Amino acid sequence: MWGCALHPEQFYTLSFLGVFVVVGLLFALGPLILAYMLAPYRPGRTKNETYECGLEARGDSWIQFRVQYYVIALAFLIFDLEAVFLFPAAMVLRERFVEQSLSLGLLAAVEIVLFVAILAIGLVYAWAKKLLEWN
Amino acid sequence: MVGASELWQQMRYLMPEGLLLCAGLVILLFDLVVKKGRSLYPLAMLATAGAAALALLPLESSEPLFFGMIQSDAFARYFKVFSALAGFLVVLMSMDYKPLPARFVGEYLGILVLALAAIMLLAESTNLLMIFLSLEFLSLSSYILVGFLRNDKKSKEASLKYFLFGAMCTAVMLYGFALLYGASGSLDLPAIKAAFANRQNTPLTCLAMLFILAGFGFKVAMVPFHAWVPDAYEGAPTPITAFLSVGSKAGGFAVLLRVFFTVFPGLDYHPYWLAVVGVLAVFTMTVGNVIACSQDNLKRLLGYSSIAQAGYVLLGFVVMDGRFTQPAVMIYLLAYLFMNLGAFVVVIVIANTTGQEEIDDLAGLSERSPLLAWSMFIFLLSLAGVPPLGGWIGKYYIFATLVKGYLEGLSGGNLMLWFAVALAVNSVIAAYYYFRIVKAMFFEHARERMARPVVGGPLLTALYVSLILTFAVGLWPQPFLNWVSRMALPLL
Amino acid sequence: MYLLPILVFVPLLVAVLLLLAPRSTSPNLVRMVALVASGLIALWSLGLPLSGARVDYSIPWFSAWSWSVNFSLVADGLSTPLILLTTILNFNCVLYSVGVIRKSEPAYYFCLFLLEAGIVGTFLAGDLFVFYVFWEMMLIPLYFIIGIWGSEQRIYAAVKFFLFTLAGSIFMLLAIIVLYNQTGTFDVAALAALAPRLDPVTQKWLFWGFFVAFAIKVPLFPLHTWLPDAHTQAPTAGSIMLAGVLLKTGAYGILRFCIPFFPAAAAEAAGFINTLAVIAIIYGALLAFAQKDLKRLIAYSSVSHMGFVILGCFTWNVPAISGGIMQIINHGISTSGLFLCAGLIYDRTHTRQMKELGGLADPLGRLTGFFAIMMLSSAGLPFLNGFVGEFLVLLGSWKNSVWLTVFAATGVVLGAIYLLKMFQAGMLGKPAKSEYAKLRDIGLRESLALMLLVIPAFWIGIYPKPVLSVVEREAAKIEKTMSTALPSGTSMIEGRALWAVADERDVQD
Repeated sequence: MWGCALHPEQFYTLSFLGVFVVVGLLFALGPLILAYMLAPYRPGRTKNETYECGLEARGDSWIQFRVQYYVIALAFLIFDLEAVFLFPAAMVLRERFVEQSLSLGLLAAVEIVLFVAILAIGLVYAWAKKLLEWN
Repeated sequence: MVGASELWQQMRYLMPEGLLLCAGLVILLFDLVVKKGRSLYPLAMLATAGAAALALLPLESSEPLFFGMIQSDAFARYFKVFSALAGFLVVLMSMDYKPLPARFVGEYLGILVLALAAIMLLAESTNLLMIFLSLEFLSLSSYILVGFLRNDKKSKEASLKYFLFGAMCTAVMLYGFALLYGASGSLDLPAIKAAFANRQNTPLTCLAMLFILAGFGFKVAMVPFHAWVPDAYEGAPTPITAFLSVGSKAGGFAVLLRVFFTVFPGLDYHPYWLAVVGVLAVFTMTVGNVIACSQDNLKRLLGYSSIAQAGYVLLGFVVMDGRFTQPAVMIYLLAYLFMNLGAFVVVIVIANTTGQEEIDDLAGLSERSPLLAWSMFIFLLSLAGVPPLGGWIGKYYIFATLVKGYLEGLSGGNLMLWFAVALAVNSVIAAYYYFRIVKAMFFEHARERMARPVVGGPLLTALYVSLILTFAVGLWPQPFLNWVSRMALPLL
Repeated sequence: MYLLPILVFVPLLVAVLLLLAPRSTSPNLVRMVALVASGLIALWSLGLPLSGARVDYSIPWFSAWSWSVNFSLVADGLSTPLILLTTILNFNCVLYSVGVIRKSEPAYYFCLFLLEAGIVGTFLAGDLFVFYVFWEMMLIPLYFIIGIWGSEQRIYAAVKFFLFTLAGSIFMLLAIIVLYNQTGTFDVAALAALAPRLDPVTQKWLFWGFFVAFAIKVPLFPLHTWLPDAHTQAPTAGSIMLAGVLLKTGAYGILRFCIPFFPAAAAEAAGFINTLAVIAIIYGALLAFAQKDLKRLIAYSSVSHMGFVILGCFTWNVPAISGGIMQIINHGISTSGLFLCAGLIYDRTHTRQMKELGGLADPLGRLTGFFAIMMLSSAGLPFLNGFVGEFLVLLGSWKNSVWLTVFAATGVVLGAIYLLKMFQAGMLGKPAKSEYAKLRDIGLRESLALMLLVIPAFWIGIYPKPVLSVVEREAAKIEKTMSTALPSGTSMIEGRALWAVADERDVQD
């Protein structure tokens, strides 16, 4: 159990963990420390703006958002995910058809269609429930 | 390379969950068309009953399916039947659950049916990724269902707490998966097992096991990952509470059994396993039972009781012996399914009558509705493990497993006997609070103007089914025992 | 062949029928059904071989993964008298209750019949698993009887009773499972041969696992605290069943399982247990002496009298053991009689406080007569049943330890004192209230119920041979087990009861 002394092999395994922790910390803190040491310190009004370009930020950011923002964002995710999954699928589909069997390619195509269909149901659902109307 | 026709052939093993997934989508679509949500109930009942029937078909494969993602063996089939059956009863219970807004019945049923499919997938996944996906599928559906009473503050709070807690536990579990992957170089459970064969127990694998236990422990409500249980149970719509306490928990135990039996079967892991799981199990049941004693809300009380019950089942895991652990856990879960769902049926009737779910609302139930009072009494007796009811058979086999482990000289044997003693002590504590409810029902008198509860058809059906099966598992356990031992995972 | 299962399942069936009876069923019908059914069951139980011959019945129940359970029932010389006692007392209870109980009657008789089924099953079980099922089954109905139909503090008493007994039995369950795994069987007869061969350490643990459960039920000092509450708060029928047979299941368990299965451990523990028994005898008697409540007094007298049972069972010679068994039966008769009388008094005066009673002999002549007989039988007056058991126990115990016997004998004297005091306070003297003069004496039904107890009390007191010969055969079996198990060099005492001297041959086989 825990009581057992560390076997050399176990020590070897654990040493990876140690190295991982040290390197990870260095990786995260190193640039910060470097920046602190090297960067010139010249604060100013413009410097303290939230965004350095674009519209000027006004008011407090701690306000209530309409919950509909999230709904719309979710609906957006439908398309977002679709694209993420469709792209690699499209890349290999041709390969499937040409290099492997026709049936396997068809199966893959059908699967993609099903995937899109299920996502579409989500969209239809949101639409029919009037979640996309901004009022 | 697996051919298309073969993949098509493999699809038939997924018929129950396929049916449920389709049904879930169809229900969601129908919800857009039909105006009355109630007409969707028959559809959901048909889907769950159909899934149960399909899962009962002897379609099993000992080969890994879908590129090793899934193994649809007898063990998985057991949990498919289990979850479809639980789903059917939960749908029945929902039909007469008043607080459920009629407008959203479609969404509710759709998500519920999808969650059932998630449990099925969880029970048959043999790949860490697939396990994670099904677990998240189940969790996300549950979060929504728990928060389904939108206008109820408690429900919203429950959902948020459940979500935050679940997210944390899942993250830890994912870390465990990553460590396991790092240690073995594969995500497939059989490959991980092969990688660990003849290798010593390293700190890395121990850490991975612990982290994974966090994720699964969250699902089965194991201490210290139980904190969400009381609030989520209290806030959730009661049928969903019942679902969480039975379906979701069974899913957790299924994946726990599969992962720990396929990946860590060697006795090499045994002492470590024994100490960690055994102590956690004892903590789980003690915490659950002791806190339950002071609860006045029925749902909270049953919530803590379900934590304690998870502790009993976990004790079955302490003996990592394939011959006994699995059947004991499986028969316990089966008995637990009926007795716990039955208890929740009564809670729903009470809530429908008085509008709340306190123990006081049960006062004098034996005068107002003897049927309900005696049924509740039977369910509580069974939960307390009094013979000759289902829960008693379950508890007996957990006991027997521990004693067997002790006598067969498995390492840490003495500890096992102490675990058995802890289980015995806990049974007495549990009897105390179960009998608090009995006391209210039989010994106290109804308050003035307490209406006589009316039980509608669906609830009555659910009540009778639970009641008959609670008795059946206890009085005539042979067919259930045979079934369970046939459905256990093959020994490694 | 179906003699035994009918004894268990008919009460169960009647119980379920009563529970399922529609609400509109007339109470008279319910009472009739209960009375007839319980009478028939009592008659049926007379079909058991009264010679104490062995009858058995067995069918497989379930088996899985190397655990198999048979539903087997066995009646022999030890269980037959106790079963008769159970069925007769049940009839007695129903007979009494039909005139008194008016609150949810179907449920009440359901509980009584379920209790009967549980107790009969406990005495009949020929398989440890079955034994445990019935053992737990008796808890539930009595819990309800106390909790629903009891007096003021009933809920507290019911919960205390339930938790105490459950705590004991759950450890017995653990012991049963360990025992099964060590020997591979639940069968009591087979275990009696196999279990004594286990190693001493295991035996010791298992012995205590069983013994604690039984000692709580008996109840043995210091585990007795649930008893006075349960007795005092229970309705009369509950007290009768509790004192009459429920406590006996504990003593029966000791004689049936603890001693034959683990003789070495029993021999080792005997000194300690006997000391506890003697403490129980004196302590119970002293506490009984101090009680103001009639039922509480009888309850403490039970603690004292059951001490004799334990003392007898753990003294390894035939007179003591047979005395112990006789005391089990006798206490069942006398104490239920006392509780029945106390109940009848309470029904009339609505008080259990002895200082609010008194002078009842005048209006309640017949009841006073029965009460006097029961009181004297409990006090161990010769020619009444109580004498036989206590005498044999003291006789056997004398050869074992003079000091224990002397102390135990003081219990008899104390018993006579507090019982007489109780009788005097309750029935003699001046009436505490003037309206007592108008009380109605017991009628035919109640007299019949009391006669059912008085007749065996006289019968066993005057001519105990038929019962004693059965009992002594059982005692001889236990003594034989012990004499083979005890280390050589321990001389076994050749003791014979006065009545048994002529029956040497009976004892030999």
